[in-house]
Amino acid sequence: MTENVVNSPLAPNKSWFDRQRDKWSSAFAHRAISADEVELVQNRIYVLPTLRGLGVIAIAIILLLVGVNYQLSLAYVVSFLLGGLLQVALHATYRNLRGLRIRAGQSPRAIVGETLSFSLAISSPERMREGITLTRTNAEPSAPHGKLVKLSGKAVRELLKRALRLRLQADQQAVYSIDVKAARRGIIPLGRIQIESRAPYGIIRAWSYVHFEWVALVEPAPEMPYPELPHALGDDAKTAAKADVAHDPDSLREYVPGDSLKRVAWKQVAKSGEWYTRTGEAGQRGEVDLRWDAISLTDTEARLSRMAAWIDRARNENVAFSLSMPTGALPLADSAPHHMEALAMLATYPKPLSEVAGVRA
Amino acid sequence: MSARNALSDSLSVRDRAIRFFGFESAGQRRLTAVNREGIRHPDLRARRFLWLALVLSQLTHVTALNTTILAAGFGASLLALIVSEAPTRFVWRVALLLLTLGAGVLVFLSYGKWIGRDSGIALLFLFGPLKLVEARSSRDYMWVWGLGLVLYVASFFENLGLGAALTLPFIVIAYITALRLFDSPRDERDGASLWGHIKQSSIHTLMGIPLAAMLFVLFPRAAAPLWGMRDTSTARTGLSEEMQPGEIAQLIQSREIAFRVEFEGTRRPARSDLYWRGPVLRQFDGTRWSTGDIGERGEFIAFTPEEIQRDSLVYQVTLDRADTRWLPTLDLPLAFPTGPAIENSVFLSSAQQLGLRRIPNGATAYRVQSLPRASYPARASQRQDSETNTAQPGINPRTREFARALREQYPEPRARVQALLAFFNQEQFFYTLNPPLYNQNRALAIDKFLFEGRRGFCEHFAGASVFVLRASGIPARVVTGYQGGEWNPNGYMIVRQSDAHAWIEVQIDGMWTRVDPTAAVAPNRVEFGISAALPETEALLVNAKRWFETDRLVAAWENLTFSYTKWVIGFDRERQRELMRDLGLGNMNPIAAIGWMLIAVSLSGAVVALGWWLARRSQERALDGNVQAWHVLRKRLVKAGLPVAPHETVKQALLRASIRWPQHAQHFQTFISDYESNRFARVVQQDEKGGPRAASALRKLVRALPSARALRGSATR
Repeated sequence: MTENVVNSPLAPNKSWFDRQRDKWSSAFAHRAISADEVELVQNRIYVLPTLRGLGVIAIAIILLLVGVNYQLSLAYVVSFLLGGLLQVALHATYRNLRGLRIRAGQSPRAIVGETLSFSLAISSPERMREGITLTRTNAEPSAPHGKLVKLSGKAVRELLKRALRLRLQADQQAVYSIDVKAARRGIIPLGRIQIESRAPYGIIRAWSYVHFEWVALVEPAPEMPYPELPHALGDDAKTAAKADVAHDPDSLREYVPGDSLKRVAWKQVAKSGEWYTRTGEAGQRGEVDLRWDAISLTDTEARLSRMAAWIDRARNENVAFSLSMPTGALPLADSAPHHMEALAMLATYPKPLSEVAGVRA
Repeated sequence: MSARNALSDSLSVRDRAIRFFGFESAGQRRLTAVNREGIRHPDLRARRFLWLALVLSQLTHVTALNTTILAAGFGASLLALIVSEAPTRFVWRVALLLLTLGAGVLVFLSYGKWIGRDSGIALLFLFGPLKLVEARSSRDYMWVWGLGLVLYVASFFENLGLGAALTLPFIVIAYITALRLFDSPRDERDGASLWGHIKQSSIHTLMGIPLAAMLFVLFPRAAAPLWGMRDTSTARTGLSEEMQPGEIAQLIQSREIAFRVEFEGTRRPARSDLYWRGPVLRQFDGTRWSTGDIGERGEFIAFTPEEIQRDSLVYQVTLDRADTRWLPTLDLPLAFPTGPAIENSVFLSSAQQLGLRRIPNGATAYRVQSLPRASYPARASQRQDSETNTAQPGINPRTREFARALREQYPEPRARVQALLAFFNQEQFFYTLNPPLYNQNRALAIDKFLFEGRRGFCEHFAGASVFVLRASGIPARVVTGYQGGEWNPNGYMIVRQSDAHAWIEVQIDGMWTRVDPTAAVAPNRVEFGISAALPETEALLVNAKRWFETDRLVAAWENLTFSYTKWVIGFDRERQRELMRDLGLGNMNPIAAIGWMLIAVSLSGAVVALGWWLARRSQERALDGNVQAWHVLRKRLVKAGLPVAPHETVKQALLRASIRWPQHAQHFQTFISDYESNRFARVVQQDEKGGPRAASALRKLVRALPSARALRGSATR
């Protein structure tokens, strides 16, 4: 009798120890926090000796044994001085982290294949701190949407070895960037960050965790070469009319920051130094309606790529566009924020932008 | 001139040589220490400083190693100084490997073995710098660091004096600074200078001293070494059935108690009578003295009742542990001892020793009556071969010659013995616990002792005396046992293993007479070792010191050395017990000691934290009073739930606070205006009370606000 054996998907190639640890830690899963700033407190900072510290302890014990056996009092003294150093180093390293403030920055955005840079602002309220490193503890996601995979301890150590060590004077602020490769389109959460310091002696390791609710949006790569824009809205077939620059003074108004730079009357700027925006009808921008269901491709990613290509092209050619997708719609507009929002909608597809937690402006 | 220019210009000869040897790329020396993979290795400054620490360790050994090893070691250090990066080219790695093998061979040639204390130290001495040459990653550097530290501590075998103690802090600080530098490249932005690192290390070491001191006092001291001395040139005082003094380079005085004696009656023995007889060593095979044929049938010497009435001593001995079969007894026992464990197996040997046929386990107690006498009649029927035997005729020729000369010059045996003692007294003989070894040529061991080395302890003197006297025709034998004893205030006498002694008996006119050749050594030539600052020898040391008290400074130094020796070096179990008793901690078993040490650790941790807190407080106090008031207020607001960023000004923060707590908005406004006028007003208003008054007004404002908890509860947004 043949049995229909259904193969379950292969479990990730983890050691037994890692699997047990995952089981354990999922029970105490860290919740992401939506606050902006975190201050490290004493009961969240963990302190242990490093490998180097264990070596120092071993050397101290060997020296102690030598002293005990051969009755050399000065060997006792050296050994106990090392012990004293260990205790002082414990305090010193712990103080590097205690009271440190970490503030999450903006949600980074990039195109697939680029590197996302999560910027954190670190500030040190009272004292000098050194050797601060921040590393992520979750793997770069290639897994399905939004699911975080923990990095093995070894991988985190590898990251640590290469991480930048920050040094802050009292009341100084600095920016620390954690780089993540944007391997796929979509929402990429940063996950949990490990903040660690080993200074000043490298024999004690003090670390703490911060988990911001913080995602990056990775936009789809636009289809290359840019495809033709669909028919313009309301106009005749001749779309994307080149913007004839009209220097009609009546249709100028004062520049307000945020106006599209394409509509600034540069000749006026060159002449008088004052900035003006054109509001005239002449040289009217083109208008186009970008519709999801107008694309006839079947593959979602290809559709998104085409959409992204259209949006980019519209922006380049100074054409206003409106967007309509299953997850939401954008009215006709022509401005930089509109462009960004449109791309964000593409990035978060199939989730609507409003439902994504952790997007920080 | 930038580094890039250096590349494009023609390289100097030195740079070219450096590049040829493949040690580094010329011109890239000043680039950062980050290598291709992005991992930071310790930089050149860390390397050079570790080299310095290693050289300091090496320097502590200059008195102990022979010249070849010293030259090789310092040559290797020179190489380590020149090489600024671990060699990668095959040529140089092979050369380094050959150097290492050569170092190993050199040690073998000098010491004859690799495993052993001195050869081990030599190996460390040579391998330390060689390891530094090839060190690249911080793990390699840690190995060198550890080697250097162990090498330094190994120097304490030779120098444990006050000088070593005074240089200890500097060397330890050097090592700790070296550790700091591993992760602090010189070109790091805002990095500390070398001097800054040294300063920080010193401060941290100082902060670690309280814990170190407490642990030093509390850590239980062992009575005996933890592992057997595989290195047989070190021995502990005690009894054994044989002796070979030429093999011993260091005699450690074991303070373990051998036995206790309670004397009955009122009579107490004089110190010169306190010779407790143990094993008698008759047999000499050229290198070793052993007991030989025991002869169980001895006879007690008969004394007249008047003598017994006048001089005899009755005492009870409690032996903690029986090392040999012989029961320590004062010369001469009158009858068999009584005691529960021994009555069936005790016998008297032909040398007036009380021995047991069966050695008991554990403590043994017995009661004996003795008459203190230094000589007793020899039994004529005894075989005398061994007592005149000087082993092979060819050994120790010079001593034999000397013995013959003595015989010719002093035909009368008593005078001969006196002449020998005078020889010990007048010639430069030294009593020391760290004698040189006399085992290079065992056939000349006694020659070397009598005419070249002239330094030894009681076994050397006893053995040499017996050999001389036998060679001159007087039968003699070595008697070992204990000499002396320490009166305890509770009325009994304690005899320790450190009182173990060797003296001789010579047969003159049919009487075996006790002679102690060690006592003939001139008192100012008595050197005691490092562990010698013990209560009963303090008197002796004081006498030796008087010899030096010519100069006040020298005397002060001597006093310091003496106290240091007594309290640091000589801090053994007994002294620790005394100290504990004085401190009121009483008797401590190891478990209690561990408990106290943990308390010490916590206490010192608290002290460290307190120290830092106080430092910060003093830093705060140095600030302007207004700023202090603002800090207090800010802390309270943060605690109450209003996050205040460090870059926010007073105005910004308090405006937000006013929104959250509108009921205190007025307060906050006053604070803002007062603060700004105090700190930033263009015209400084000098009222009579001046600045502090204004700051105190601010503080009053802060105090008037409710506590953080209350604020948190009353937030309106």
